[in-house]
Amino acid sequence: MGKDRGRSDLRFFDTGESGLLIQWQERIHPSIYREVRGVYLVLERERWPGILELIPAYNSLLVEYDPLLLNREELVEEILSLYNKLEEISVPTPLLYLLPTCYGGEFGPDLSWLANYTGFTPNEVISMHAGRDYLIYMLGFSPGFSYLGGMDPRLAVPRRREPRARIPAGSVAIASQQTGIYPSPTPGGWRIIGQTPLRLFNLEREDPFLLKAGNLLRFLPIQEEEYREIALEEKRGEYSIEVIEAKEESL
Amino acid sequence: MNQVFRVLEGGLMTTLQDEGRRGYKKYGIPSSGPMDPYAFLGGNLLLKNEKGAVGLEFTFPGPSLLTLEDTLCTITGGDFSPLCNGRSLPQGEVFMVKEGSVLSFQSLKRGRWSYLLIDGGFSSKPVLGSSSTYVKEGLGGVEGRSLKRGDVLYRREEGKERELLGRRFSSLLPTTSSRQTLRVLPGPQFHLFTSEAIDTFFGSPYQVGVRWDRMGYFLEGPRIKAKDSQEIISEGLTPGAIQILGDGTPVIMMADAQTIGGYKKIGWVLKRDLPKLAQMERGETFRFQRVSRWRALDSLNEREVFPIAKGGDSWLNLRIEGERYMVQMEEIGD
Repeated sequence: MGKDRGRSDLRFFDTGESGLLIQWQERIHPSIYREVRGVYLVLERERWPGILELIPAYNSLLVEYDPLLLNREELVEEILSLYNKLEEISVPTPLLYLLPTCYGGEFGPDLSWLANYTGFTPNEVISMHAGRDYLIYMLGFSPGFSYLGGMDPRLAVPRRREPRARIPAGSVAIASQQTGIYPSPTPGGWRIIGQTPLRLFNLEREDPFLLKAGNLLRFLPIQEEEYREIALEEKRGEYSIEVIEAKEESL
Repeated sequence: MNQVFRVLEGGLMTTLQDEGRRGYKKYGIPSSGPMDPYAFLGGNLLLKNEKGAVGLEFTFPGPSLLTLEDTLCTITGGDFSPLCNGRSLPQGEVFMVKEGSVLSFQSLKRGRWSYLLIDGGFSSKPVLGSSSTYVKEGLGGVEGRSLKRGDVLYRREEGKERELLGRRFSSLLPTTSSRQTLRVLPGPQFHLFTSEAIDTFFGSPYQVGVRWDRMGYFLEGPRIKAKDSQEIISEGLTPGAIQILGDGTPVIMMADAQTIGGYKKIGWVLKRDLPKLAQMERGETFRFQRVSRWRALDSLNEREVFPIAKGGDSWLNLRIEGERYMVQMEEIGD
């Protein structure tokens, strides 16, 4: 028997006449996100006529729909009934992406600053950052930018007061409680501790988006030499990221 | 693929747009597409272009274009006093520009966004299913950017239908709905604002401030206070959302709205009214009107009337991927 669910768990809000926001409890937690992911993946898979866009986030799912094809009451009822039998519905097992990342040096100009600030050695920072799996809660802000959850709170540091004019694509960075990867070059104030040679958003790839929300990510420390090798392979379109099936409970 | 124009001056925010990019918001990519879909679609209808035709969008002062081949075109939306070799061009009417002539724009008469549509549409390789330019990430259009001097624009297909010449709208202004009211459906954080703030919001005049672009319009007018300063957990964001910044400034999200946001949203401007906001001029004031869900749904049945004076079809319902625009065409006769 699944957990007893009621409509009190979910709240529904209009986002205009053709949008519906489904909100879970106001908390960022893997257990809540797991339900968001469940509903999102089922809606993705079933492709109800009239559903135009889905935007999953930490504790919410925004559905853009055509109100002339799908009426709101119907949509809410369908989502509730789907939600109530979520435990019985099988959704794909999350994947664990292994993202090669070169920490420190020219690729991570803020690593030693961050080590100083937090009182660890650079190597300790690397093993703390790379030694766990992060949940990719959502993509947004810019194409392919991953909002990762699960960083060691001891690595939390303030943003730079003066944002850098240009952060290279692939930069792995930390700002307050968050860690993330910049998909494309952009100005930014996050502290950069490393860089991946892989491109998170690449229009030349058959699937331009390397990472998908709802999966897990682990940073795989590599040396500069390896970075350059992988960067070359990536440029030629010959590198494929290592992906393993994650254990369901790790979500 | 024929060359139709060489860009002499790029103007401001001059981009190629089609009806927008669909299905990529989950990856952080906005829909883009025209800021004023009515003007854009109306122009394409005048030219009997097919769905998905690519047009040129720009704000004042507009581009300056050298014509490389005789082309049927029309200019719709904001009126920037279009000129061909220094002579006035009609707005909302199909005309022919001759090879060697120069199209330009003289002064801002009305609106904020204008459209140049050509017979057959412009040619542009779709990126993620659409030719709409999204400048922030360099997607679509001409190299993903605004046009600049030296760019060449191509036509998608060989010109046709000279009988379109002179086809025109008999009226440029939408005949329905008040221009100064934007209808708003309350949003997810509506209850996080004080009742005084809500009264202020719906009771005061606002205007578009100095910061505006395809992503969003910052408004000038009374600031809005939330009950507390606590941030919300970032969630999905779509065009029409009225975000209230930390200092109380309302910002309305437009065609290039980012897909995730962490500001409180008092409500959403109805899709039907968003093009009206897009065209709002500097200094023009408007008010927000709170509507019920039923009134909001009703708005979908309102018709934008573009009476066509010559060679008009009787009636047309336009549908664009769930965003429904009704355009009525009436035969009026000369």
